[in-house]
Amino acid sequence: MEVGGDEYQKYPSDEQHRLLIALLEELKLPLLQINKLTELNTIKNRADDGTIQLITQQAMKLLDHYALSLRLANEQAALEPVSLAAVLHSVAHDLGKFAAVHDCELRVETPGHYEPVMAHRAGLEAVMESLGSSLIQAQSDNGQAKPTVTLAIHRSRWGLVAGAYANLPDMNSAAFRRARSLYGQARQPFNHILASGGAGIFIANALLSSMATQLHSSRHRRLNGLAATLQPSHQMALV
Amino acid sequence: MAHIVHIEPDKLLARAYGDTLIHAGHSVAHCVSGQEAISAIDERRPDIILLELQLVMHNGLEFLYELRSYPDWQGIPVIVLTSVPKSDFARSLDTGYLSIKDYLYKPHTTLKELCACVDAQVVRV
Repeated sequence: MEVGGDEYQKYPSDEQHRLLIALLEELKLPLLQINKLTELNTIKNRADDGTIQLITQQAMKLLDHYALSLRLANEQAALEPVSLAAVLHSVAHDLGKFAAVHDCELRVETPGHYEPVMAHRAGLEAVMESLGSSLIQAQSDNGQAKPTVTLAIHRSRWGLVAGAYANLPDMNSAAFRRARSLYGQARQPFNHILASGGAGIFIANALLSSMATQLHSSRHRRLNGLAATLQPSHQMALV
Repeated sequence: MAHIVHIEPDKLLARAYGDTLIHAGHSVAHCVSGQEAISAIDERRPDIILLELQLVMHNGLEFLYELRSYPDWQGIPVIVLTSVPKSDFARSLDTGYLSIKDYLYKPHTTLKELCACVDAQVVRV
């Protein structure tokens, strides 16, 4: 039976199905947090100190990033020259309060000058934000004494590598490979790193797939993390 | 009233549950992992342990088996307070050896119900 374009879109792929399940599991945590903190505020007869609002915003972002990954999977991603440094600084600004609530320090390391890369700007911002928030949660789940997440760029022989890094010794390529085989099927695909499902990481991967690249484990200085390798646009650099 | 060791990886949930129990008059030692909990229990024996099953590295079930392997700690009551539905763990938990006093599913358990459950265990202890 021949399946046309429209027909195909009616049936989500296995990957999309798994991503949806991972997202549904992930949303339990912010909903629980909102529920319990609201109840606590009622017991103590006090107003929200902004935490519930922050949790709500992060959860909405997760939904937005997921929706974007679906849209980009079904249409040609409009690429434009994007400054990776600008993206990381913007994401760090947006994630600042979320990091603070988790007592996590957020750093940005973009030393030197990097050529712009051809990417979907909103998609790339969603990728970095998803990675950043997942690693912030991971640092918190691991009870690190001085939790720190670093958003960084460095150059490799394959291109410009941009990602999120932290002091997580078990975040390596084997762990990531295993998690990719388990997401949407296991509650904790990254059970050595995250107590929750880490849906943000897989949403980031889905977003990158529509930009003809993918997420990979990476090291930056002595930190482990997840990153994307993007090709610099030398033409734009000359302009 | 009671000293509680609460094993919960999420800081925000730990804050909600911990503050509630402290407000109810108990003392709470929060741990994010089973390993941390073993140290906390060694430092000061709790009256009750509250346990999330979904932990980093080793899950709550593995922690329980380790806890019960210490003869001095076999009698410490454990209340499971978790995001995992009981059906996912039911068989593993139905052993007298693990001695779980109650299984509370977080989405269906209010903070007040948690306090009532803890108070019930304190009376028995």
